[in-house]
Amino acid sequence: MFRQVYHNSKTPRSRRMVRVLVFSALLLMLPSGITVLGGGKQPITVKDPGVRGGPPGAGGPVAGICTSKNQTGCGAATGGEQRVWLATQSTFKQVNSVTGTAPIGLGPRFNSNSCVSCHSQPAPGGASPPSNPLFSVYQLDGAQNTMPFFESTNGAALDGVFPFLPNTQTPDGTVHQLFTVTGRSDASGCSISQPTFVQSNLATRNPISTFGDGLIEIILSSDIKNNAAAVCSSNSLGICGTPNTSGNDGSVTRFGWKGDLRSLQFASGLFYNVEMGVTNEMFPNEIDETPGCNPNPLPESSTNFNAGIQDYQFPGDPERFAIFMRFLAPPTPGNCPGGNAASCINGQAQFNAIGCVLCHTTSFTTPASSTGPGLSNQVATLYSDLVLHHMGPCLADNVVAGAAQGDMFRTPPLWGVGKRMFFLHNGIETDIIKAIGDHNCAGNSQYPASEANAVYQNFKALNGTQNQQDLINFLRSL
Amino acid sequence: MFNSGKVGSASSSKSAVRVSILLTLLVFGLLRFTAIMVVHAQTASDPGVRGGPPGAGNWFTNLTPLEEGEFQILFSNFVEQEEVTTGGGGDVLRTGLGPRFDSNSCNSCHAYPAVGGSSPPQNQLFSVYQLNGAKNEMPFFETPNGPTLVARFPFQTDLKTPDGHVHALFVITGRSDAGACNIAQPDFVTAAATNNLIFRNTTPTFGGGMLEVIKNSDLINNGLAVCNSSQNQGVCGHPNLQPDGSVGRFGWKAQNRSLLTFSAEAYNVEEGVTNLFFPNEIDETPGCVLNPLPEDQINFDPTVPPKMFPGDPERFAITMRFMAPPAPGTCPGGNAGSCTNGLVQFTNVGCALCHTQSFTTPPHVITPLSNAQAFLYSDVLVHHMGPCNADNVAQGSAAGDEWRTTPLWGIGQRVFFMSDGRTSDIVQAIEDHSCAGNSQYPASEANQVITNFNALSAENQQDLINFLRSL
Repeated sequence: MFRQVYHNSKTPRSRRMVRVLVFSALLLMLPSGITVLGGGKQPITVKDPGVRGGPPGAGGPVAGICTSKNQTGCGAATGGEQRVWLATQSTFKQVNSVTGTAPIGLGPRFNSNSCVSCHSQPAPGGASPPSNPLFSVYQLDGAQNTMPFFESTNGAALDGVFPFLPNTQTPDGTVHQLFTVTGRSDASGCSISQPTFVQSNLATRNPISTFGDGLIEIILSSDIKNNAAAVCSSNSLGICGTPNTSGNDGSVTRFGWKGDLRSLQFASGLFYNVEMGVTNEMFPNEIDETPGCNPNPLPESSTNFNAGIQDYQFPGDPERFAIFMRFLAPPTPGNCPGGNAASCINGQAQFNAIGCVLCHTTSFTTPASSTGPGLSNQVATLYSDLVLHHMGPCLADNVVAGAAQGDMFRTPPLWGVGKRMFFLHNGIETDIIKAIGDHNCAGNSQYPASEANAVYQNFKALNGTQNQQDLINFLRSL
Repeated sequence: MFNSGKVGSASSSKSAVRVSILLTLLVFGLLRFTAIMVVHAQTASDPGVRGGPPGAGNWFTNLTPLEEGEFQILFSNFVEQEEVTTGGGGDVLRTGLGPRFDSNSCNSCHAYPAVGGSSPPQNQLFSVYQLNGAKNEMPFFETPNGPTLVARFPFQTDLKTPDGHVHALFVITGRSDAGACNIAQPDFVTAAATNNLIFRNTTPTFGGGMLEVIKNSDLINNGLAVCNSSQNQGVCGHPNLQPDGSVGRFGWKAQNRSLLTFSAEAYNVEEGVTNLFFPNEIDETPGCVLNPLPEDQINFDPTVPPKMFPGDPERFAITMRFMAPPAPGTCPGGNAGSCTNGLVQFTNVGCALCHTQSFTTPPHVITPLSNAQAFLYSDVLVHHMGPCNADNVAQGSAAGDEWRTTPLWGIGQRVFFMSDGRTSDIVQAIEDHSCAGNSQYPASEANQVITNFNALSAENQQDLINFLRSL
């Protein structure tokens, strides 16, 4: 139990009483009992109410997706968006085999066999589900894989990244796929071993939700940079983020735990090969080219030149994955846990007041989009500045990605966090209060202190108060 | 004497090995012959761009009828000229130029000896820069008969923090289709005065479909074999690795992985056309983001043919993927024996240590790209080329003095050589491979090979040059 001690009492007694009463009512609905130490000046026990119940609040398309060319703001070139989006749902959910009937191309090394396997909570496109999906994948069709030590049945579906090459000095930083196709009935002749995972050279990565990413990818680079610069010059808490940028066009890259990916299209091509081992027109070679392990012509997903196909069947799968994600609506906030909306209103005020919002920027507005009204001029309430921050040696994973140093991470967007199971890049926490605590870390000789330390001290000063519980409730309402 | 068999065995194909064995036999046979020849003082001269028909620009002849049918239509995308907006009466499918750009179409720079190639003899930027009322001045380094160059600034204005990005030559300001966008061209004069300006010459794309699918392990093993050879003459390259661990292949520093990612990147960087890979404008000055983003987009209209469904980069990539590699021509001077000996000399002096003769592609879904021997004369790795060639731009794992071995297929019909297009004389280009090291960068890996080249007899040198111009 995360027990807090009450330190100050600046809140008027009457308001505090109301909150405590509301909180007590909330507790009646919780599975485990928590002691609230009465009213008055006594402290309360602040607790994560857990994954919010009720409908998923995510998984559908953006409200303004064009359903016909006659819809306001739509035209001939956009009228078919919903028609195509519905078709791409099945591409996102498709399960690839190694050989045989399409879709093929799994492996020879892979983490899972479909996108939705890891991106499923609380709906397809989301984050890691409560039960680790990899346990139903790793020995499928006769595969002889053993489960790496860091995967657990009720944990996040984690990727393994090696920070360094075996010499422990040269940077590596690439994903080393958990599994191989060896032993599968559709992979005869391929005999390769899983990587040897050792804790001393391992960074793990938790799946990221993709809801609302179509908005994130077109936010102006200049808006992201200007917001970050304004924070740098205006706060006294030591917070100053750095954009990760594309070496090609100089734009702000914005996806992934280190903010090193530019667009859904690029990420789809990269991860189709990195996560599933499916070669495609962006990454056309297999990651492991051991003889006997490359049974298919390259690339395994490619342009379809056959006659009589649907328009959306012409490009390879990555284009369809990207369309699916681009039009996924941002998560819809739900009811305030406990049912008292005022708690979450105050919670957001506390979130802003103590400085969480300095990195977790409330919103950006998208520019006009060629996709029509769904993504055009939309306020994206993502709670992220989309730039990188030093988070201290405690969270550092020693993986360098573009401008992101080994201790730097992109501020994770918090929209949808109310429905999220696992927190932080390594998915190590399920208690959102512990995840906040993990933002706090002193520096050492290798890495500076976390930029969040002063904000964490502000958060800690709220220990045992309804204000802190309200802040947590606010997060779980998102 | 360096072992040509070892180098030539890079390819997993038996035919490549056979060629290597033949070469080895030839080397020893001809060595005895050349040893008794008198070395002339006169050095070789470049016969110049090979005449005759372009040996490139055609698509593969063994595409399926459906593939070929698509190609002929997709090809039109590669030569389309972009406009900023429909304000000038243009087609919405061709909008998106700028606000900053180097040119307005792919084939403006990728033009010689055919569409898809490299810089043409006449710099096409002179017909682009003031089009439609644009008020651009031509940067001092562009000349009417010079290469089409793009510019990069190695460092930011503090001259310390790395930059390395392309700084597009032109802006749309003044164009009739560019509204009130008012921005200035980069200050290239100041950049040059502070030694912070470098250039990149257009690379040809013929055969790119083969290049993009050569096995990573073949490239890496070939490179390792050279590095580990006691007769490598100081040559040891390394791959420019991509986020999935694969070998980068395209661009002067091997920074691009595939024709598709290259197409999308260049579409925004060179033409300013935002697309699904790079959806934001490079310059977001108010008044200059004139179109909804991205400007190139999926076409969801069910009445258009499927090939029009994806954005332009997919079509650019298909066009280039279907283009056959350059076909070698007749030997300059008409004596085939000269070029046969030239290849022997090329291998003999060690050019082939980096300019690996061929690789064989793995099985591919497109028949002509499947199990095909690609005579690209490149190891596709990056090498230290000395401070004389360093441009101080780091891209991926390619440092400021490192360059991808330029594929030499089609070089017989190339007008400008080296990363910055500095010479049209292929002999000079060879000599420019030689450079001593300094405190910042090591010596060029090619130094010993160039010494070997200079020690050749004039006849052997000329044969080597003739061989190159036959490619």
